[in-house]
Amino acid sequence: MKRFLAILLAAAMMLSLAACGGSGSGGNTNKEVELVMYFISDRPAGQDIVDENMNKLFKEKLNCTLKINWISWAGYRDTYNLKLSGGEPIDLIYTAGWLNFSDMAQRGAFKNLDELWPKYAPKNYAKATDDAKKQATVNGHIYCVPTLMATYMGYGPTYRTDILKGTELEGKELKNFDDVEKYCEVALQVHPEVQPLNIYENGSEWDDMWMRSKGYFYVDRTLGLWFDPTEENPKIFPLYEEPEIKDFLEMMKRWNEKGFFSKSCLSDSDSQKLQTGKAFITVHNIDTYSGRQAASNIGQDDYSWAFYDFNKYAAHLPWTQDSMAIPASSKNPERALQLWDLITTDQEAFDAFYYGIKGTTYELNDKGEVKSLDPDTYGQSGMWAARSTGIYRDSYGTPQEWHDWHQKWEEEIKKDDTWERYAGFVFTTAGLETEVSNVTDAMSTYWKPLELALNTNGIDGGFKEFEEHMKTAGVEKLITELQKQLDAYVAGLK
Amino acid sequence: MKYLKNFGAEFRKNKPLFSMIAPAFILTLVLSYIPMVGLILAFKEWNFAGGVFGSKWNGLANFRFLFASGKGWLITRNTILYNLLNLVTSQALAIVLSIFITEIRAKYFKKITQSLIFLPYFISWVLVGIFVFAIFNYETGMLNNLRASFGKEPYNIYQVPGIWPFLICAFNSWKWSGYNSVIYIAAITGVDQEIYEAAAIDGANIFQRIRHIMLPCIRPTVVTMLLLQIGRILRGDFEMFYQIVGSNGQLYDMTDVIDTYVFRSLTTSSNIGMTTAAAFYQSAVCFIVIIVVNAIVKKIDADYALF
Repeated sequence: MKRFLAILLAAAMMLSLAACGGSGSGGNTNKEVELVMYFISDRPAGQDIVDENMNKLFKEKLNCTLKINWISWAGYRDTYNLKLSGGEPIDLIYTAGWLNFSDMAQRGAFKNLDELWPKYAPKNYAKATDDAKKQATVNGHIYCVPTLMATYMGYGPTYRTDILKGTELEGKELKNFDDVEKYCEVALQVHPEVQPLNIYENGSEWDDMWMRSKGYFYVDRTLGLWFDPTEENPKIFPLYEEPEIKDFLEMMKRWNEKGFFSKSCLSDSDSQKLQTGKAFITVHNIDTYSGRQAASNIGQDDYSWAFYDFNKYAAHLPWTQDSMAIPASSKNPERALQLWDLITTDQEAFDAFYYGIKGTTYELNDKGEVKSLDPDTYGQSGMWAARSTGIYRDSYGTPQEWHDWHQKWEEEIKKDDTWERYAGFVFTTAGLETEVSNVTDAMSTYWKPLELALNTNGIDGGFKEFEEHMKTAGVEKLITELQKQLDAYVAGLK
Repeated sequence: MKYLKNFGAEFRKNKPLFSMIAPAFILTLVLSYIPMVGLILAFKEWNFAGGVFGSKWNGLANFRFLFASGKGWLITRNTILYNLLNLVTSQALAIVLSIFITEIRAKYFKKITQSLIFLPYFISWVLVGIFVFAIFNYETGMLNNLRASFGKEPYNIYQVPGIWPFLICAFNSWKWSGYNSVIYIAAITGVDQEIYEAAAIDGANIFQRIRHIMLPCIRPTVVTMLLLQIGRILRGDFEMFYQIVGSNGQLYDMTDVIDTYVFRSLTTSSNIGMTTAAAFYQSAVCFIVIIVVNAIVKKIDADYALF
């Protein structure tokens, strides 16, 4: 037995050596490889059959198999960092702005893809926009392959319309903050037991919405830094320097007093209020709307919903908000990119990777929309970076409005690039970690309660406290540094 | 060299004993001592290519985020005060509970009481967090419903930061005293029954027996428990604070401990150096505290010191 194993091993080594020697370039698929992929999600119970199915296809097309590993949501940040710093070779990994893509790239976590991407994933490369490539670039080199799916900045209220039946607001759209206030008043008359605004411990996003409705563009929302893109040389400013911000705070105070949201909302961990009928209106992107409306359309509940975009301008979201990077530890970056090319540009491969097995894990209707047959066993992949416009499928019941808004935004972007020209602005906070962490803390400690008029020292007192703490936290240093980066970006636009 | 020789002789003499201690020794070495090497990350600017040893040194830059905005002292103070308060209350309650339980004579009543008191230990902080919110929720919480039924105005406890240290302390005691009491019950049961009987015959009443026999007998246990807890004085029970207080900025000044602060201010960055720096700071202060406290204990009564 031992001898047999030894011979087998020797044979395997010879074979692999031969394969290596013969290929020369890594693009050769003579040698079978197993690629390792990581993304953040929890492993679905039904993954095994999905793996078997897709690997049959990958084996046939690229002589490789894919082993997916999951980084669970619990403690994902640490695990993600550990995986990249550990010695285990990883070939494909999810990355994104919210996972500090540019900082990680700067710290050497990923492979430089300047030459590899166009060479080994040519179809994907051809489909990627120039903006996407610009956003994937850190210090002059490309470090990730951004998603090929266009997403938009569109942001605004998603609200229940079924509760408006028979009221003065029936059939009316909410187009501004006054309308929202009116809506909440009417909602409170119809359902006095429900606080209409969906606000819980994550705080409110109405501040962002307010700034965006005035046409400001954010550098970073959690840091409270904005600029006015209509200026020729925009200057970054902190939230507290917006001249009319106190009007906003007055409005929120009024909303608080009128009972639009709970006075203990910051300790409320219930994030499912819309689904369960415990809130009627939220502010978020259009996917929240289409998700809710699709659920109603396929009969999960009898609610009906509407959405309105409150942004002053239209723009794409950064393409890098979902991306794939090749970790520095990868032994097979060429094959990994070939596989990525296949998954992101070939419908059959994408379906097998993303939705699983037709008839077993998902089904399609005649519009080509997809429905998971048993979401508890297998829903959809968590590797969002693989989605690509034209291949990615809408869910059953996706409302027409969703398509309409997308079309509208695409047209608006062509007409007016006030925001779009800044969509490619990527900044780095390397060397500013202390300021970033302290400003983040000041925002969540002082701004969050102040915004909801929940602080104990009134608008003026709370505002002064907020401003002081932002300054001690080093916001001015942060702005100076980021301003330099923005100036360089603006110079590059001209 | 002399020590090594002695050790060799010692080893040959007591091979079985050494082999018995070996697993524990190896585990401690592997799990507690070797990872300490990672602490050097606190003084380095992490990069993936260099890893733990190859990254560049950057002095104390990683510690700056704790102290640059002045929050470091506040959270250190909070952490120490919370731990002291929790230490005293939960241990004191545990001692009282264990005395009560050992003095209960009815067997079933005793067992049931003990189980009920022990129960909270099994309830996760996530659930406790939900209880707390269900009680104090401004609009629909139990407290305000109760107040309303007495015709009183609702009360927003989330705007009164000063109450929270007491609430947190109460929940901490509720959760831990049952668990801690088991250790004291064991200590009390270990006391020779004959002493009690002798005292009873000599006319000592129950309080005198507790005061003069039981308490002195469990003193070593009490001191050991205190020392063990003090070693953790700069470690906030993250789960507890996070679940009870959540992301409620209004309460941070009174409820922020090092762990929650680090968690919150580093959620948007993922700087290994800075998290290590925070852990290093905690460990260093804990180390100093335990050495000092142990020295004090040693001075008072050398028998009770940990080392």
